[in-house]
Amino acid sequence: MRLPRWNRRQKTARNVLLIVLTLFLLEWSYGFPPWTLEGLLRRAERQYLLENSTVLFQTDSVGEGCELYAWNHGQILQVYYDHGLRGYWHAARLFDEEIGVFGGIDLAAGKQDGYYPIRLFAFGDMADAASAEMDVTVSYTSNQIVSTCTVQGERAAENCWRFDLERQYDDGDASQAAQREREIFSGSQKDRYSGTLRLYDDDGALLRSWDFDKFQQLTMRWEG
Amino acid sequence: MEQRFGKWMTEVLACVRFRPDRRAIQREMEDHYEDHVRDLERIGYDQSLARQRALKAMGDAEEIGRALDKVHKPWLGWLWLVSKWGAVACVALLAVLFLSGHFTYQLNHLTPVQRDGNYEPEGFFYFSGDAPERTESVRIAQGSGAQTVERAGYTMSIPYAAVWKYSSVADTTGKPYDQYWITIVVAADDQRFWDYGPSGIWQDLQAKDDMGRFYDTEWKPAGGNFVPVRIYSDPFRTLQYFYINQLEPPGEWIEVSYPYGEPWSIRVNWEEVAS
Repeated sequence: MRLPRWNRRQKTARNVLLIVLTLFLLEWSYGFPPWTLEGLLRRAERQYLLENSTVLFQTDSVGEGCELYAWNHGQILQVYYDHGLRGYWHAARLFDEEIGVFGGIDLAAGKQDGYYPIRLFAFGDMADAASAEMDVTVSYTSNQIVSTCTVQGERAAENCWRFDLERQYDDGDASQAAQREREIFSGSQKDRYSGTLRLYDDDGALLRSWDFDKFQQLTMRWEG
Repeated sequence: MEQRFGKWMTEVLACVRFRPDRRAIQREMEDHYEDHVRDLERIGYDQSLARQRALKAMGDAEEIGRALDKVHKPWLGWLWLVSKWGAVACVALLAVLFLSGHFTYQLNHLTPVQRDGNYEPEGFFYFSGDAPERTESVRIAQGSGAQTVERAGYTMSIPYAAVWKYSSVADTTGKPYDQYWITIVVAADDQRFWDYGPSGIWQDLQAKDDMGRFYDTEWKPAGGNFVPVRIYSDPFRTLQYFYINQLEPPGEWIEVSYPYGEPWSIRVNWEEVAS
């Protein structure tokens, strides 16, 4: 059987179709990753049968990925994502909390003077708060307490406060607690945070306080 | 004379804007010219005259060149050339990916999952082969969700649920006892082939029955476990199989619920299965 002789136009159409088919198959093999942040959030919502979430905050870290926090019916949806040539890919978690505390050692930011920064973020209905304060206990995941401190929050978005943790011990301190703290801040030990978040109004009166234990959140599963 | 043909050829090719085709055009023109020359020689022309006549017969160089340029459009030529190499690269890439098993997961998920009929034709699904819990269990009740629920573009339903009774003798005391296994199949249907089902909800589903018993996915040694064990999916449907294991018989109904977003529940009313 003789194959029909195709002209250049037909050959071009065939080639373009083949390229489109290949791109489709590649997208399919990667699970059709979304191409926009909006699409990413919708995808994460659908994993949990949610709709119409409100974005609370979005981190801008690169390399180690970014995080997006959204609010839905009193739950916080955390989306960890990265993006590249093939769009956004992600993992999502849902927390049944009106106010959630997230974050921890920021590996993406890199070491500064030999240590990584540790940042905690508090999300939720906090638009009415004029200031925020957090008592934080830093421990190993094995429950060994490393240090306790009180940190003033910095408003990062309408419903988000950021808390930068600072080291409590000097470099020359040879005590066991100081050593543990150095291990935590250098990223060689798994960290755990627990404590109390306090929100104040313009007059400095306490609006409400919130106890948290980030270790419990860390042990929750990711859905990719 | 050869020089005159060469000049003619140069003029023709200068009109063709799509350079990659120039060589092929040149070859075709030369062949055509040489054939004509040979034909004229065959009927008695001397070589010089034959070449002169053949060149004249080739026509006006600029006119021929313009006509050829019209046929060999640069935009189509470049598109064809680029698409050709693109297609070759794509075929090579697909071959490598298929051979390396890159598409295995997706191909496995193209097989349609069950949509109706008996979901456990060979006995309680959790045990395989000829395990006594499978071969000796008796299905005593069956049901399906009394309603479906629409959330986030998914239609949630319980197409199948069953209660299996397994009678055995305790190893330690030698006393006979009955054990009940409840199978619940939760389905999520949608039209979005690009989504992989509501993968986040399976661990958060809960169940309760009319006897006040509560079951969730957090493992408790004392019971009350609603265990997600097997998942099947195709582009438009996901089936999650759960089981409950208890020593008491089931009540009249069992209700599966999801507490997040817009909470929902689906009730299954048990119907006795004739033995």
